[in-house]
Amino acid sequence: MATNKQVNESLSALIDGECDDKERERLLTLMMKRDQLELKSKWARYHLISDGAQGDVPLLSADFSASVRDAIDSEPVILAPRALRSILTRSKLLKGVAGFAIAASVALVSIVGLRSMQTEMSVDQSLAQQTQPLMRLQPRQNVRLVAAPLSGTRWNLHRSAVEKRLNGYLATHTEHTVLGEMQGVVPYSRLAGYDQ
Amino acid sequence: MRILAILLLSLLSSPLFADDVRHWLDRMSVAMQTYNYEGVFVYQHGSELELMRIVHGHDGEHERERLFSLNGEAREVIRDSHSVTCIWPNSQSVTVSKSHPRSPFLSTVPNAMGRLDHLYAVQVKEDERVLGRAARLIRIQPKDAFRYGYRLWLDKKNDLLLRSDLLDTEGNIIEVVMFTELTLLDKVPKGRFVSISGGKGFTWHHGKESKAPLKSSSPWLIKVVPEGFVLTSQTEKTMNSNSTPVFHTVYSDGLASVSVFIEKLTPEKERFQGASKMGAVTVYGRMMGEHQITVVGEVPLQTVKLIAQSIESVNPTASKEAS
Repeated sequence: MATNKQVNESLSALIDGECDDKERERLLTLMMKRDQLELKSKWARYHLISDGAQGDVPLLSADFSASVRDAIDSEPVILAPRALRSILTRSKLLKGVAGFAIAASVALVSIVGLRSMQTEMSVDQSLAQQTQPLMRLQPRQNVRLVAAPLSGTRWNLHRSAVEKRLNGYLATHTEHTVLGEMQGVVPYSRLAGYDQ
Repeated sequence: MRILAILLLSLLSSPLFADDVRHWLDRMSVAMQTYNYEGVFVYQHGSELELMRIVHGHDGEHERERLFSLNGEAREVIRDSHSVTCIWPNSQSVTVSKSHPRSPFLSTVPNAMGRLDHLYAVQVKEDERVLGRAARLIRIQPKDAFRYGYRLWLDKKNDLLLRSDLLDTEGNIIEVVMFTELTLLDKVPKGRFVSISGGKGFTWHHGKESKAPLKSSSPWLIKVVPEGFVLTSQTEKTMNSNSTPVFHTVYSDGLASVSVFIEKLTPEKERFQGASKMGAVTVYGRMMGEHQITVVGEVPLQTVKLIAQSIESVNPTASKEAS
């Protein structure tokens, strides 16, 4: 077992894109284990530090993103549990889809990252609950990124026909908002953010 | 003399919308619309928190955008210069509607700036920090209770919106959108805009919009809108192939927008009367004879209610007032 200092150094190298393949594989595998929460939050902290230190365009350094992408592209099995691995080897067709699932699990790194920020920002606690189910890589479900269900339909009217109509109205309304023109993302997150 | 100096100083320290804020908001919209970027952001509304990924591209002529949720149902919104496609995997449905042309400049809203100064107080703070990056904070506070306030943090280097808060009239946060990862790209590979689920085997709903705006012939009279809101669009459209046409009218005060939808309901269709809320969006519904009136907007409830209740039919004999 590596000492804390070594781990810290490797993490920082990983974020800066300075890790060799073997080391990267070891760290990514380590992080996928559920008992390595501390390492994950370290990773998140290092990210924040790294982002701040670089202070330039990407919030997560491009090198880092590229190294994660490389890791996914070249060796998808690293992050996949046995079940998924066998599917992968059986069917090339599924590879793209499973690759996405794995990418999603890498996206978890940012979720976990958020989690450590969360304490500082006291953002909603439900994120922590949502993180856990996502951690389990179950091939079928993960293709769709299904996590713990949210609290259902957001209008909370319990009348699906009416809610559907309201959803349609909201989609049309969003296209006409002034802020939509200005902020891009914001109004559309409302749209993607509701259940149908 | 001293009094004059203080007066001058106080004038200088309260920047006008038309100067500072307009400038920064315009720069923000240009950045959000024309840059190529990919990022992950948190969207928090009420007690709910979502994580979403956005891919945004602009090829010099056209804008393309794909937004998808990373938790819960893998909902997706894909937008280009022709259409907005929403994919809902749980209900296996896809809705396609026409996209509305965007303009990066706030000033395209008629006389927006002149009005905004009466409606909102603004402030710019230069020394903010979001996710370790130098940011400029723009605070926009409403002067009455008919609209919400905003706090926008823009990246000082590239003007991208790093965080956006929507605040109620008491200053409480209603929703937050904040990037946790944002990368500017030279070019976005086409594949990044392709949907995960693809909508294969899903039910597709195509909305249609009438070509000619309905300015003069609307059978409905919207009698009251809060100060500063002006008519920005009026069209007739169908939400999906089977439904009756819907009259859609949009009002905006330059920042907030309110939509009024009026459609005739067949007897088997469920009515919606009263209020509902979803994050920043409030709706108010009422029936007028066989017509369903629904007002939707990211404004306080009293605004949508006021507008909904003021609506009358131009020809009162055609639809009798119900309840």
